[in-house]
Amino acid sequence: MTLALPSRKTRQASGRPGFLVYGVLVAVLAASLFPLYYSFVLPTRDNSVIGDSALTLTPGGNLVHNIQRVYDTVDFWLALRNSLIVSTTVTVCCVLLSSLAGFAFAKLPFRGRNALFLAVVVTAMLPTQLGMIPLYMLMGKLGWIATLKAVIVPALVNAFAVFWMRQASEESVPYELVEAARVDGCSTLGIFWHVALPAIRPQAAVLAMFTFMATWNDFMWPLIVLDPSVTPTVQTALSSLASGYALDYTLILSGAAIGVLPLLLVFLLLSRQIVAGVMQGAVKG
Amino acid sequence: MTVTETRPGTGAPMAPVPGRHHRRGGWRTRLTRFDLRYTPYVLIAPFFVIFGVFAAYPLLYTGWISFHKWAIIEGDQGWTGLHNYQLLFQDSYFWNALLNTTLLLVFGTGVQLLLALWLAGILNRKLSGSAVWRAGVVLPHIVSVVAVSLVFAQLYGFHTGIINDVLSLAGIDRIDWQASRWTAIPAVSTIIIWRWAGYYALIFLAAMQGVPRELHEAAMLDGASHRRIFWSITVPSIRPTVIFSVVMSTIGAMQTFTEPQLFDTQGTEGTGGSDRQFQTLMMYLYEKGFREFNAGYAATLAWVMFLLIAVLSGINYALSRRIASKD
Amino acid sequence: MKYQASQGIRVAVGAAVIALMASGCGGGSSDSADGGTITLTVTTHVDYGYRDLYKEYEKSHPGIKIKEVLIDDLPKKLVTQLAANRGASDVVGLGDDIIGKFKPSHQRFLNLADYGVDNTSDPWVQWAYDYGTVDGGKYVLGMRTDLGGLGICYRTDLFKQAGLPTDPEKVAALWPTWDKFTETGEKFSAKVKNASFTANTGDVWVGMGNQLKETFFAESDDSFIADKNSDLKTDFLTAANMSVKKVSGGYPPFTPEMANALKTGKAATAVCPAWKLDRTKEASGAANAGKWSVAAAPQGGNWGGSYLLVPKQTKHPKEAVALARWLTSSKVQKQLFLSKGYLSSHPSVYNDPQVQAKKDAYFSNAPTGKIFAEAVDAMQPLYRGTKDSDVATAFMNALLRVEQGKQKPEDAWNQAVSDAKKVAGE
Repeated sequence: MTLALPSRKTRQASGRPGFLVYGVLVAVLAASLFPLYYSFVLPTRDNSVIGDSALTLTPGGNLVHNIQRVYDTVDFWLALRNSLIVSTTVTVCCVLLSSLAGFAFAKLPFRGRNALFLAVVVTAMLPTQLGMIPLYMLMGKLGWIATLKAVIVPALVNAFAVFWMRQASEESVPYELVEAARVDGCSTLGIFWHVALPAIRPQAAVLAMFTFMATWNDFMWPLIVLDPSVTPTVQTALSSLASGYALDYTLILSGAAIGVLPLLLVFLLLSRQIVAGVMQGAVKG
Repeated sequence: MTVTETRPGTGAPMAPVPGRHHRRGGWRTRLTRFDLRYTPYVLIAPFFVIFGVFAAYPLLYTGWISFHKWAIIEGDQGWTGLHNYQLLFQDSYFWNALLNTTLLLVFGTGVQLLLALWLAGILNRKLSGSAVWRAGVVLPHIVSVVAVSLVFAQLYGFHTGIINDVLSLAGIDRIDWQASRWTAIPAVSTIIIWRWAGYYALIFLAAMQGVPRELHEAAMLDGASHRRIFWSITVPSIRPTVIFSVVMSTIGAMQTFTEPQLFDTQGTEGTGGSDRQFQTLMMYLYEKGFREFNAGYAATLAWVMFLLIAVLSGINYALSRRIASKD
Repeated sequence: MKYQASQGIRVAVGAAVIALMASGCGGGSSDSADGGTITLTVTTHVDYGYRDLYKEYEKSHPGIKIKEVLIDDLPKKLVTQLAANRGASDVVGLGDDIIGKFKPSHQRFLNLADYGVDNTSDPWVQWAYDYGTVDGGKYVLGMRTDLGGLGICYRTDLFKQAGLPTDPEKVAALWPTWDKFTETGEKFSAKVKNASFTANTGDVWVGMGNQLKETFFAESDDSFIADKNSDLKTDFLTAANMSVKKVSGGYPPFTPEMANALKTGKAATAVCPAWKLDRTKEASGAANAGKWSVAAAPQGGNWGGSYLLVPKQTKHPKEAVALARWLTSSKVQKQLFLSKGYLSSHPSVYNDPQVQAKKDAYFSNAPTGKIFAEAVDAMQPLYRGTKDSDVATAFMNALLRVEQGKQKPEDAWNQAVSDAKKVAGE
């Protein structure tokens, strides 16, 4: 025992994690991956495997057939297109608008700043989905029911995002740089664009990733305000797939599997951004 | 740069930026002055306008509804003042849902945040293949809810669940996970932790990357253990993010809906088990509003939830400030 | 220092602006009439099997286009649309368990009587028609689609093993009442150890539900009577005792576990309304073809079926009613039974020799047409209160508590009654 202690210490001091850490990571990764794997395996089988006590882990040969059934049942191309429009627009606008607001709250002096920021924090506590019926009436008055605007516009801003981007500016945008740019004659927007935005890119990428996921997976409000025959999204299309008399799990999961692919793609793209940010930090340090 | 400079509020001085541009004169000066004074408002305006119209207005309207007998389709059935609120405080189902929500907050969200912090600490170290691990932790968040519910039904099924299969191999009786609060709450907690730990780990990780490496290296040369470095350097320096996450996940936890709903494989119509043993406040709200069509009562519940969240967030904010600054 | 935003960010912002503009032209009203073509949207809570029929209707009615929408969470969407007085489809399909919730708001739907709908020409079975009306029949709210004539699916291989008959008629003779059904179950359990007699008690209870004249609410004034209804209590205790006596396996309705039990032969019987045959087939898989059969349920009965309603918001009331009337007509319903197995709500159809002669190969060629038709033909009209669907959950949960071993039947009943009272606002 006495011999083991120093060796452990030296390993730690060298900064390289040991087997235990990798073991834990492998376990975490397995737990994360398994349901995803499972949701890709089931669409390759038929319904009779659902509920089997031994989980069905090997792919079967029904994938093409099941995906064909998805496209026969609902207009999944349209749903994918709509989900892409909604999620992309919401993500870009939300990240941009909250970066602007976050930057203002963190780095610009103005009267009432603290009070207004407190207002943002309080609005984060409002469970917004509780105002669904009045919101629907409002959409009716605007004539937006069954249009994608009805799901895009309310999602363009949220308090979480502003809070997060304020934090990002606070931590990553050095005040001296803002000052220097000001001296060089940059306008406020110029400073934001040239100084702040490049600095907060990793945090913006994290926000973009989460916003895209949340918007893509949003279900209740799109279900209520959109018209699944005209403006389906991936999630409402899944709901249509789930309305057979017999719950057709392989059909639903086939839809879910196709629907998750764009999400995986976005995720891979953005996680590169996040990693790039890490490298930057390493170079700086 | 030292760590303390990243605290909220200390980054920018409140006094106006030194007025060296004033001397230049002409339209450029006026433009600059206008820019300095008004651009900040322009930058934050979109948030307040959109939020005001599409979130605040509907919510205030919900508040108005809560003072009425209000049927979901037919609308206003007459002013009742605080009657709905009185009913709610005498409603045993409300207290039951509040208890369940609180338990899930402690066992689900609490554990999830600790695990996230710990995972972030590991991911922040020099790992081989770091991109893979990082991508891995957030995958649960991508999986569609339908798939999640099927997987967990397979895990926690009474007759055919894998966990029970393992238990019975070990000679332990099969457990009907949905049947009692003390088995259902831990089970739902695992779903919450599984779905959200990686999400918050990435948030913590993003913040940890801002912590200067020299601090770590200096401490390591002094022979400090990883654990000690983690708790006395890393965590305190991402304090604002920790507070942010605690407050935000508390707000989210008070509205827990998806996880217990998809745990309810026995289809108890949103009552969260045969004896409401895992019904949360949000599930009860849906039951009242969209199954019983009682919009007035649902609106009341919504507002009480808001007040609870506000109080809890305040307490949490104060507590986590203190805890995070201890070292 | 680089005063430059990355290329990626610029592209993304540009794309967002374009997308925001593009999103403006998505959508459009669902009931637009352009060039004389009328588009009717039909939204149903499950797949009613109408797809081919829509095509047929479009062919025979030039100028009409039909859009099909399926939403399993339809009531949530519909109440919002009705409250805002906007966005509802031209025709909506609701289950008979939920239509009661919309009766207080019947003014939001067309009175189909104004469009000539009554029960004289091409009549539905009277009780099913009546349940779709309010105001003592003056306001016709919905038109009945199918019925859920009740049968019992059973595994012939397990019945053989237990020494029970396997012929549908002889099997039905085992259980003229639900008490006899329980007794048969006990006999079964004595012989067969690795399978339970029936899947769960919730399904049994729902099956029993339509055999009384009143259940939770009084026909005279819609008051809560479950606490005084001794027939209801007897039914409840009969069902609950099936789990006490281990006749029920406790595989909850509509779950993967139940599907698995049916497939692997862990449950020998399941309550089967007409529309559930498909589900049973799907769950137990092709490998079990011929192992299943169907017999008449104790005391007959009905479980499920739906109504088509026309919201007042529709811009094409005449065309919408005409389409809904056609979809619920005896001619179309006969087609649906022969192709999909959904039992018609028209006596002229379910008494039709062709329907009565229908046999199902998967279910050992059991005469399903005859069994389901007889189950509904003898039915008494059951009164359902406006809050029926709210209080029903309390009783389903009570049965589940007994199944979970948390309560004795009598205690479960008492709690169910007080829970139901609370929900009913008594």
